[in-house]
Amino acid sequence: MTQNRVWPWLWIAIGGAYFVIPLVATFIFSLKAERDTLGFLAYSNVFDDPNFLNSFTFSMMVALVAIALSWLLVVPTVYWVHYRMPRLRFVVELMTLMPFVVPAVVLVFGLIRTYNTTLLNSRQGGWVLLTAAYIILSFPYMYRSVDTGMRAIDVRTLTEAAQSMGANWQTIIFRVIFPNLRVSLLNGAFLTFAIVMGEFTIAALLAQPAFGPYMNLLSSSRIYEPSALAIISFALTWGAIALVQFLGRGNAQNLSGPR
Amino acid sequence: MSYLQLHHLQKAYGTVTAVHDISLDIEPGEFIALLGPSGCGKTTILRMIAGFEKPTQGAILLEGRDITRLPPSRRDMGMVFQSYSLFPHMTAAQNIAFGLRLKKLPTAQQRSRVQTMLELVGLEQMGDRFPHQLSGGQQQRVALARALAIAPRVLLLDEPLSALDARVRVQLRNEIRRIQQQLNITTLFVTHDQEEALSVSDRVVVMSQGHIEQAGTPEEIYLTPSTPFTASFIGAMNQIPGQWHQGRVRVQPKAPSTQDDRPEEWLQVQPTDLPDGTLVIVLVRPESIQILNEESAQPLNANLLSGLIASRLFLGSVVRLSLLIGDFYLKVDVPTDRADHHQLGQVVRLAFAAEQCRILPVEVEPTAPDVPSAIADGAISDSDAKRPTYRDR
Repeated sequence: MTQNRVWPWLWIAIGGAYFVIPLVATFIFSLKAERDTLGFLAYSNVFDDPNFLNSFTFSMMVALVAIALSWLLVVPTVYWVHYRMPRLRFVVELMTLMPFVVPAVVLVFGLIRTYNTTLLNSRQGGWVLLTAAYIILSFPYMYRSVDTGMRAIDVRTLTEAAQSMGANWQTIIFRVIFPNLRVSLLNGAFLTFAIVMGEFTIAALLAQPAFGPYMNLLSSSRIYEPSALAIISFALTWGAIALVQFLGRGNAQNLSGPR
Repeated sequence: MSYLQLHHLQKAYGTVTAVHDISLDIEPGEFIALLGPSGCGKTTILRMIAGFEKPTQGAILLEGRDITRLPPSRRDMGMVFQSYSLFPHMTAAQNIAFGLRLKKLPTAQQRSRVQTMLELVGLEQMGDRFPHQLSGGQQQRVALARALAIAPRVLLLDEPLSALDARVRVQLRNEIRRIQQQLNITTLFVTHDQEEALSVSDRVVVMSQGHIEQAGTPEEIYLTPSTPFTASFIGAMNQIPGQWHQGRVRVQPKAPSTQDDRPEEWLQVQPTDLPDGTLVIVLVRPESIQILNEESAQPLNANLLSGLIASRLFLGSVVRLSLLIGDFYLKVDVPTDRADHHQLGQVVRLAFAAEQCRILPVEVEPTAPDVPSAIADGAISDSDAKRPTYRDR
């Protein structure tokens, strides 16, 4: 019996150590910017660098726009597939998997070849193209989050109940469907946010001042700052998860069955 | 002109026709139950009236106006669904107010209307609760209040009680009827539960395989079923095959040659103008059959049969006996307090009055026009013959 309890804990400890040790090592290394003492100099250097704030703000803005547009694109699509065209689910799922099949470098070269004489003639055009590429990259994550949320609610009955009370499609989507997908939308948003903040290939090839290329540049030119940046990114990720949990509280309970 | 008219309504899904040429007139304030087994087309009719399905053919007229192609949002029909269809992110009061907000009613009027509706369904104190904080019965009451809040022209109820437990179901169906009468709202109620349909409706429409089998008051449907399907679907019914001959029915026509003159084989029934030789079924309810004791006087003008008790089924207030008579079985209901006298394997005599027997003609498939007389004459056996089909409409 005792032996049975030891093994699970041992495997958990090994798994935990595999995850935590590199993190702790990175953190300790990031504190060694000053000779013979531990300190936050590397963090201070990162925060003092105007490129950090600029690239972070740029990527965050792109991420927020990509998230908003993904919601507007994916939610009505998944809703329509659930409500009217369940047979198309397979096709849509297949389409959302394309970012896994087509590598980012192929995608971005395709975009450049197609739009180099139009959108890429201006800085705004590059920004638009980057955002559009991130929307495509976020498809698999956003689609699956929304699809899971949609399966948890009775889309057909809620739609018909709203229709019988005089609701049009716009009202149904924004006042009935969206509020009931809060947790799913936040999950999809978080995943999209994480992808956009760390993405390098597309941003670099489109020559956009994003956070991914900045991290890459930093890691090739500094010693301690990249580790500090990794820890900052990690903290931001966990902060985003905490935010999702906080904003989504109560929603799962609302979707549970009757008492 | 009727308030709501279904005019030759038909609905097909590819090659499958779910609803065949249905016509029905519904008067204002009437409570109609669409009753039938699963897949008979009753919900499809309701959904066509609500606008969620487009009829393949036919028209729906409300107060004389054709609404067949009108979208659901413009039909002014309140609907309650089988599954709890409340919006999970809204409280009970917000759910009820949803339609009122869409109609842009002033806020004060919305509040007043929501309160009135909550009182109507007996949930005055529950307005601020979310659906997950309500029981199934309470959720359906809120759904009813929400459907009624917009003052719909027709109330559509799609098996609203099916998901509830038996006690709550009875309670809620009575409340639905009370509210319907109080508001005098035209109501269509889809159900597969005959007790529900008979107990609350002004008129019951019995459906089978996309057709209307019979429409009438609950009493008409129960006492004078016009088709074998209605007879078997509403309550328990014995169906005895036989042949109409000179004002009587000869039962067991399959093996007439040796027992032709036994008096039990001739049943007295209600008069009919069927021609002699017509194959019929005799309908008699289990509760209309009396088991005779040895000391019982033989009733006058009653059908008398002898049978072997083949099975007993305890149903609470009655015990249902299955009696083997010749080559068919008869169900007989005996009050539970008198059922001890009747044991398995016992041969008993039973009686039922001619007035309790209705007969329905049986139609034979056209490929075997000579079969009835052939069977009746004993010329061919039943297994050789085409099976007769009921003339069901």
